[in-house]
Order: sequence, then C-alpha cells, then structure tokens
Amino acid sequence: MAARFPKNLPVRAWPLDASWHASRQQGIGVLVALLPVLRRTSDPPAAIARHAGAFGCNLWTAPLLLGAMARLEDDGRGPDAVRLRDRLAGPLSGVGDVHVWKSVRPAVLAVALAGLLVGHPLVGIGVAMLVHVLALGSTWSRGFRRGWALGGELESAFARVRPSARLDRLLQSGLGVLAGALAGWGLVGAWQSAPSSAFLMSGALVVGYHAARRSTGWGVAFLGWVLLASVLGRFSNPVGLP
Amino acid sequence: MELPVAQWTAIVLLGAFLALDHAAWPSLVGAQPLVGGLVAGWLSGHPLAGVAAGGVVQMVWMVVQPVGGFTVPEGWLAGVAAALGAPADVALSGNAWLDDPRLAAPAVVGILAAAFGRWLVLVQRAWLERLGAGITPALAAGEAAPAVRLHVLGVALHALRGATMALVVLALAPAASQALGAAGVAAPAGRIAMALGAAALANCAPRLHRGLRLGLGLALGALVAYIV
Repeated sequence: MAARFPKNLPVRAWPLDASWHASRQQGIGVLVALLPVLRRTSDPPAAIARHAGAFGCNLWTAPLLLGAMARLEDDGRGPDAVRLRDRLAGPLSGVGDVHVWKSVRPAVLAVALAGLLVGHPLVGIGVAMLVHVLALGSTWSRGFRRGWALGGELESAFARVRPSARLDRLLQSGLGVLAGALAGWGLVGAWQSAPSSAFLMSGALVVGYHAARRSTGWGVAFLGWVLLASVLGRFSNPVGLP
Repeated sequence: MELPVAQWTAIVLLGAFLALDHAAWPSLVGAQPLVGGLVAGWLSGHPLAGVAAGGVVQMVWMVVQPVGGFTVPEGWLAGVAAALGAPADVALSGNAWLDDPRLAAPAVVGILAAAFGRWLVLVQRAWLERLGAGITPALAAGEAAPAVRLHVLGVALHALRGATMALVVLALAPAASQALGAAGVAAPAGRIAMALGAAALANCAPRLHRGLRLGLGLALGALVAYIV
C-alpha cells in the first residue's frame, strides 16, 4: 500500500517552539507533531519513547526533517528516523539560521524600514510581510512534503533541498551596501539638522558595529547612547558640538 | 491611558497573538517592533506616532537572532510600549521623527519592557523544563498524553504572558515615558537607532570586501541625501 502523507502534520507542527525548554528544546513539539504517525506504527509506545528526546532545529527548515522522519516511521524504520534526526538537525539548523536570520529576515525588515523612511510605512510593512510569507512561508510549508517524499534519502539530497546559498550571499552583499547607504544618508541628514547629531550618530555607528557580536548588545548600546546624548544635551546648545 | 474598553481588549488580544508569534511558531513578522508599534498606535488612536516609535525600536532590532538557544528580548513588546508612550503629534513628513527628542523616552521604556518580557520568557521556559523532567518516566513508558498537555500549556502560557504584558504596558508605559522625559531623557533617538541599525545590517555582509560594500553604500547614501 502506498504511504499516505499525514495531512495534519503541518498544523500540529505549527506551534513547534511552544514548549521549548533548554534540555529538550523542541523535542515535545516534535513528539506532538508526529503523534498521529507514531500511533499507527506497529509498536506505538516504543515509537513515542524513541522521539521523547531533544530536538533543536531552525523553525523554517525543521519541516524537511519532520516530513522525512514521519515517512521513515510510517515505513516501519523508526531507528532510522532517530538516526536521521541526530545527523541532520544540526546542519539543517545551521543553513536555516543563515538563510533566515542573516539574509531574508534583515532584508524584509530593511524593506519595511525603507517604507517608513520614504513616508509610506503601510506599503513598506505590507511588501515586507508579503515577501516574507512568499520566501519563508513556502520554505516551511513545502518542507513537509519534500521531506516525506525523500524519507531516508534526505541526507544525500541535502545540497539540493537546502535554502539557496547563492541567494543568501546575494542578500547579504546587498545588505552590506544598504547598511552603508543608510548610514551615509542618515549622517548627511543629521549634519543638516544639527552637527552634534552627526557626531552622536558616528559614535553610535562604531559602537554598534562592535556590539553586533552580542545579541543583547543592541539594546544596551541604544540605552547608553541615549543617556549620553541626554546628559550632553544639558551642557550644549542644540546646534553646536556636544 | 484613557481608552474605551474595546481598545483595551483589542490591545490585550494583540499582545497574546504577538507573544505567540514571537516565541511559539515561525514568526510572521508581526512580532517585530515596527508592526507592534503600528498596530498599537492605530488601536490607541495615533498610528503615525505609533509607527514612528516602533520604527525607532525596529532599527535597534534589525538583526536580533534567536540562534543557538538564545532567548531574544520581546521586540513586539518594545514596539507596543514605545507606541503607547509616544506623543500623539509626531510627524512622519520629512523624517522629522528621526530628530524628535520626545521619542527617546518611549523608546527607552520599550527596550526595558522587552528586556523584562525576555526575563518572563526565561522563567516560563525554566518552569516548563521542570515539568518536562517530571514527565520523563511517562514518556519512556510510551505515554504521549503528558507531552500533549505540556505542549498545550506552553501555548496557553505564551498567550497569557503576552496578554498580561500588553495590559502592563498599557497601564505603565505612558506614565513611565512621561517620567523619563521629565527627568531629562531627550535625544535624537531615531538617528542613534539608525546608526545601530546600519551597523547591524553591515554585520550581515560577508567578511570579504565588507569595507568596500560599506564604503560604496556610504557614498551612495550621502549622494542621495545631498540631491534630495
């Protein structure tokens, strides 16, 4: 009998991170997502126990692995499903993180911000959401069926099904130029409104560039810089140097 | 803040949805400060001020990455809190909001709210971890019901946390922003945030020739600013 794709797998996998915690990460979410498939195996308690461990993957690339694991369980190859999870969760997460957090997400946020800067925030946010859904939503939703179709072959097909590395490099290069353009445009505008703002902005640019190494650095850098500017503002006129 | 009950309810429901978007499922961009600020501003009657305040926080938040198990601050909460604390007459035209010193205090309140929201997420996850350790024997015996209950509890807690935090910022953010403003927190927050946003985006570029890309962009941006 031909294997039947579990249509409720995407719905059940949607809140994958809801029960995230340090020791199992998305493990409970994966177990809940795969449950209908695990219940139709020859030994459901053993299948449930097999998938009670830790699982950590990028949310947008996890469907590929979930689809493949579901297929292997459906084929009665439960231990292979666990082996595939252990071998591929890390690499898939790595490529997913670069694709989502360093390429597509900053690019769509830059579009939204550009809309605000040119005075059309609704258009910017609308376009950003649309591009985001088209780019990442399709990666997520197609992943289940692609993984299901590949099953145990997912590992050998990894280079073919992973998010495009070329697209990522292109987006990242574009973001580098955009960052410079944003800084240049902002600096000239700051100089025209008040030279002290341009000095503040230059300092924030340098500090921010180094704060990038820590994810919490941004908020701290902003608070520190606003505080500094507020204090300096008490001792200077709004046009002169701080 | 004096708002009709319908608006309060809408902002609380928005909080529940955005908290889930932030921490439970693949985010639809709704949990970003810009979107949170726009919607909260619209619901409280001043959408332009909301989107400007959200925009300031968004630039600080350009490349916040929840990778390697890192729990990121709640950006949506920052946007909502900043929007609720922003003065209603902020102007978007000519990008005057970038130099508006009155946006500094709401943005600071927003960022502090996001940090508090992150702490709550960490507390929630630590609790889920303790509960998860408790169901390990049941899972090893092949029982799935405790796992389903834990997962549903996780969804409910995220929604509850979001709704509660939305209520808290509704009640406190405007007063906190006013107090900070009165204490002298006033700076061109938009410009500072823009510099941080540009620095964040620059770090996305590949290391090779990063300086060249930045220099090219800088020249282009400056040229456009002079021409416009």
